[in-house]
Order: sequence, then structure tokens, then C-alpha cells
Amino acid sequence: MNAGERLAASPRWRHAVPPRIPPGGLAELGPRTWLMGRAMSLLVGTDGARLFDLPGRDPRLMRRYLRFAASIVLFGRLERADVELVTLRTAWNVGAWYEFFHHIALSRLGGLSIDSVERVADGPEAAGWNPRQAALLRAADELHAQRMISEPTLAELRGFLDRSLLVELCMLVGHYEMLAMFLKTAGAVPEPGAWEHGPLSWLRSPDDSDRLAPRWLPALNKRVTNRVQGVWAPYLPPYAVIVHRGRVSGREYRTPVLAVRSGRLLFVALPYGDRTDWVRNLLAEGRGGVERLGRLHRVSGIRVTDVPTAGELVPRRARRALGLTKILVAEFEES
Amino acid sequence: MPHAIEVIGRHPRLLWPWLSFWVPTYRRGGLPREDVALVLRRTARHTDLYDRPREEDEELDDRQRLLLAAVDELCSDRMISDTTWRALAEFYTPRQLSVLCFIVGNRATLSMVSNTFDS
Repeated sequence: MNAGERLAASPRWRHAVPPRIPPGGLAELGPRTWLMGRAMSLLVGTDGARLFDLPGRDPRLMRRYLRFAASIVLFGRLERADVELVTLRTAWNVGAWYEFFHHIALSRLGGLSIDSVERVADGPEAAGWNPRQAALLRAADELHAQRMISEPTLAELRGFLDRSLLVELCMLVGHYEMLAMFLKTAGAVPEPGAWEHGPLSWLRSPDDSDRLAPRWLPALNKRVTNRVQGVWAPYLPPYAVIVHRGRVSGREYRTPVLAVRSGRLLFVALPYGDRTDWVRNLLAEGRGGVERLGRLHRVSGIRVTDVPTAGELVPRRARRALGLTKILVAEFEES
Repeated sequence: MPHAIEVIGRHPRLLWPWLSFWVPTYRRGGLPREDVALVLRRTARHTDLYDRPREEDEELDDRQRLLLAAVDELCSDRMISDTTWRALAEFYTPRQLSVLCFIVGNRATLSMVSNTFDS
């Protein structure tokens, strides 16, 4: 059972069963909405997209709605990671599985790992959020329950959002609550097979590893690529070599990786996901070594997280690249 | 409600897309104007924190009472229940009921803005 299946099984979700509004075709939607729905279906790999073919039955409402939604969700000034986090929590609060399901995949574009997505269900008090994320989640909860952000939460949020962004935050939550009212009432359920095929199917992998590379590539790397890269990796950043001890064999292995250093922290990209042998070795041992710029350092305090959660610690220049995958964070030991 | 518009109005990039969605939806969205007014008043009673002079309960017919039941459900469960939907279907088309969801949702959004920034 992967994270998506565990979330789907939650007793929280509610919507009309059977659906009360059937999806519209070209005749009902009009050419513009129909085409947008088609484009979305192609991206998601489904036959039809409920977001377009349900509200699209009222083409004028749909046009106005899309302009409003786009101004908040796509072209707003809030950071993508913040938008996705708040969206997921709001969808959880209102019990709209359709919204939550699609944002499991979409939130990858904001750099959220599948582990963070699953933690959204546990709310702002769960261990692992940074203060910014906890405050955003609390704001979403308060807007859901009391329809206002309380003074303490607001004071905390002011630390990183200006007033215009705070208004935008309220409207973002309000927008997804409004959309949920419609989708739940209409009886929208995720389209079968969504995100499993098509050009965006890489967003989430069924094994919850958030890998980018195909499953067979690590085996090839072990035999060929790693040996070649191992020639320059210890000397030439952003390459580095991780030295780790086998969980079973106890032998020492060397794996070339892409990593950036910031102060006492090392950030390693995980394009092969967090289930590779070297990651599991490091996590099991809790310590290891890294060879970088020709010097061997000892590292400890090893953990797997994502860029939004690591937050300000990640150097700005590396955020975009590292945001594509989960990241491994290690602390350099004093030498 | 005017207060929320004042708050949003200070941020034109939010104001215009929102106004162009909101104004036509409740004026030409397909629900009769009296119904829209009734729905907005009822939603505000659920979502506005700050006290306003409480209106007298109006004389309502069955259709209006059903409409208000739908608003109550949208404000608490974020969906219209099966029984209410079936009863409403005698008076309204599915398209009108879709608009109802958007009107309630939008009014609640306004409350979120005005409750948070009203002090």
C-alpha cells in the first residue's frame, strides 16, 4: 500500500454518490472549455477532466471562474510550495478527495515530497514541519473552522508574508473551499488512471520514492556509470562521493552523487529516490563519509526531507534543482 | 461585506479577477435575484463573525426554506445532502444549484478576508 492508497482509504472524504451531474461533452461545454478539458486529460493521462466538464456545463460561469482561479492559484505571488501545502490541507479539511488526489501529484511541482503530503493529514502539530509550514497549516485550519486567522497565527505569518500575501492566503483557502462545495455536491471522483500515464506520470512513483530515474538505472550505474564518475567526483563539485558501509555485508562502498554544501550542512539530490542502497546504508548507520574537493569528511545527523521543509537552510541557488527530488541532509562533523 | 471589498481593493491584482467572477455570478448567474439575496444573508449569518443587526425572520415558503437548508449544509458539510438535493431538484435546475455552491463559497471567502482583517 503506498501513500496515495493510504490517503484514499481515509474515512474523511465525502461526496455525492452516485454523481448528480454528468460530465458534459462538446455540445454542452462549448469549444473553449472542451479543448481545455482535453488538454488537461492529455497531461493527466485520462479520458476527460471533471474540473472542466462539470462546471463547464455553464460556459459563462466557467470562463469567469477560471480567470479568478488562475489569478489566485497559478499567477498569485505566494510561493508554489506554500500554495500546495495550503491547498492540500484545505482539501483535507473539507473532505474533498478529488481536490486532494490531484494535488498529491501537483504538489511535486512545489517541491513537496510524498512524505510531506502524507503528513498534511496529521496537521500543523505533527513533528517535522518548519515554523513557516506549521503557521500556514494552522491558518488553513483556522480559516476552515472559524473563517478567520487568529491573532497569534497572523502575527507569526507576518514574519514571512506581507499584507497582500495574507489577503491572498485567505482567498486561496476560500477558493478551494468554494470549489469543494461544488465538486462534492456534483459528486466528482478522480478520473480512473489519472497521473499513471501521460507526460506528467513522473510526478509521483508508486513506490513513494519520488525518483526521477527509471527503476533499472541504478543497477546499470553500479556497474558502469559510477566507476566512470568516480574518477572526478571526489574533486569536482557539485559532484561528491559518499562513503558508506553495507547494512548486510559490512563492506565499505563509494557512490558518486550530486551535492551542495552550505556551512556545516551537506544537501544531496536523490534523483533515484530514497530507497537506493547507499541511502538506506547511511540511514541505518546514522553516519558515513563524504569525499569532496579532494578531502574526506565525516558526516552524521543524516535525514531525508524535501526543499520546502528544509526551508531557509538550503542555499538559494540550489533550491530549484534540489526541489525536483527528495533530498538527503547530513551534518559535517568537526574534524 | 463592504469591508472585505475594501481590503481586497487595496490589491488590484486580486480585485479585478475576483470582481469579474463575483459580480456576474450573483447578478446573472441564473438564480432569481431574491433568492440570491436570501442566500447571501443566510451565508453571512454562518460565516461573518462580527455582529450585524439581526434581521427579522422572514415569511418563507417551502422552496425558500429548502434553499436555506442547502445553504446551511454547504456552510457546515461543504456539500448539499441527498435529501435536500432531491427536494430542490423540483424547483431548480442542476445548473442553478451549481451556481448556488459558487455563491455560498464566494460569500464565505469574503467573510474569511473581512473576519481576519477587521479589527
